[in-house]
Amino acid sequence: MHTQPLSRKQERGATELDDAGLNGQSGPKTSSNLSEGASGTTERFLQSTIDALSAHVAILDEKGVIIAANEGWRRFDKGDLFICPGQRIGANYLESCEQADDESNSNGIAVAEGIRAIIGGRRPDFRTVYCCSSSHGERWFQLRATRFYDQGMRLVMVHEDITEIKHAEAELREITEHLLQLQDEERRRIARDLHDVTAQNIFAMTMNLARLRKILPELGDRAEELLSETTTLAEESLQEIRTVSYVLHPPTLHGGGLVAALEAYIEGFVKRTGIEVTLGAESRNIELPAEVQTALFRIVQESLANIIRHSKSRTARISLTENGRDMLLQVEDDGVGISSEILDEASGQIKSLGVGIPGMRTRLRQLGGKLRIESGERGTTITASVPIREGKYDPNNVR
Amino acid sequence: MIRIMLGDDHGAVRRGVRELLEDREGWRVCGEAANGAQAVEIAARLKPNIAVLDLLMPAMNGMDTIRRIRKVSPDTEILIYTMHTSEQLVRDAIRAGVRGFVLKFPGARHLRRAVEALANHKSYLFI
Repeated sequence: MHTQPLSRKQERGATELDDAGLNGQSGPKTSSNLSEGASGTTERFLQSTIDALSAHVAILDEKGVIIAANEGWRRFDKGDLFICPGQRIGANYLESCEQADDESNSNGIAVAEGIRAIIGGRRPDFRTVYCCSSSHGERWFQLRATRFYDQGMRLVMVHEDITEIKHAEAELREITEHLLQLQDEERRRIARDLHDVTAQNIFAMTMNLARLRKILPELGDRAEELLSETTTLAEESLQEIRTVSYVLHPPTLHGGGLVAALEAYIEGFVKRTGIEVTLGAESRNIELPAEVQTALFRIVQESLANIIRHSKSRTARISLTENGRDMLLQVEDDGVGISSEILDEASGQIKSLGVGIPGMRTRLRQLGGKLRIESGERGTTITASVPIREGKYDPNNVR
Repeated sequence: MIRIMLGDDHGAVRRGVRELLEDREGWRVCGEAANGAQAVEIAARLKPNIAVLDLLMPAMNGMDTIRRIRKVSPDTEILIYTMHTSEQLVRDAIRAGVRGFVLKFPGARHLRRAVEALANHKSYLFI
């Protein structure tokens, strides 16, 4: 709405605007530029308002010529940070984007196409995120272009500096990766301690109970009942410890391979939940490095946990295949699907900040892999892909 | 007389197994080891008929312990009695010369049957 007076000014033919300095240049002013009365006051107010914005804002006409800009735009135009540098008022932004498209600025053509699509009425807006390497260092921007009409079509171009957000995202990614790694190590340690120490102790207790029964053959009903109950409790505890230990870190994962670990895990999962799970793998001897096996195993665990928590599905299908380039893991269910409040169907991105799926993505990103989620009324399919080469994971191909 | 040696780092487990096996007439536990190195030393010195070993003991890993016992006392039949199992582990143990493999839990009642099988130089697996 603030752009209307500016565009009206342009409709009168002005490219250099009022003394509030829309173009920031010190060239001569035409009488048509000078604001008078209420109109001038409004324009000065609007100019001050957009100048106060931290984003870099410019208005283009229907040919892509810059007809107005705020203080932020003028300041940055003096540097080399924009996707298409040298964009003073009167310059054709569209042409400069096309001309600037080279190896160092591969986004130029994309931006030009976006602008042409808006001008041609094929889309109402355009967004892109780009990076500029300059004397100021590497900076990230989000460019948004939107159209409005005021006796002709106008485009508002807004470049927002998102470098700090990008840095924060990168730091968050690093922290998340580190946390997942720590979590895996911690799970492995707890699993080992439970299995090698606690389970051994309880097993020894069951042996002691057996010996006790032999030492005291005439216990009487009450004592016999207590001894039996204690033995049963000890054996149940052993079983629980074995299960928990296995869920935390399957010993077969790095010994017998991913397929064997999944089979054993699925067997326990089916017993615990009653959900029917099938596993299809092209080979039992899929050669993958430990970190890939761990990531894919955790994704299956997390996906099956989500099926119990959210999907209401009574079945799940897991498949492990490779297409020569990627190892593909797919987990499908026949449940109620992920609601559109949580899943952005266009991008397959989860909107809410659940722990499970971002964790899956982080695990895969560490390996150069990707996660795709498709969900509808007939169920959800999660596809994880990890790059491999000639059947083997290639650490040099990490993206 | 079947002479049996035990290798397990848990004292209470060793005592329990000893009692369980010595209940059987003609079976005697001739030595106990709390780690892999001790197990090799006792096997070399006593040449038992059967060695009942946990796979996870201090001082020497399970596979090395198996290989060394096979070397210092080739006639000793080895029975693994452990909480750990996986196809790979069982395969590796058999390749290293193990004749029997019993999972402690829930296979405790299979121990005596396994020892009996090994005493007759037969294999026994409960995994």
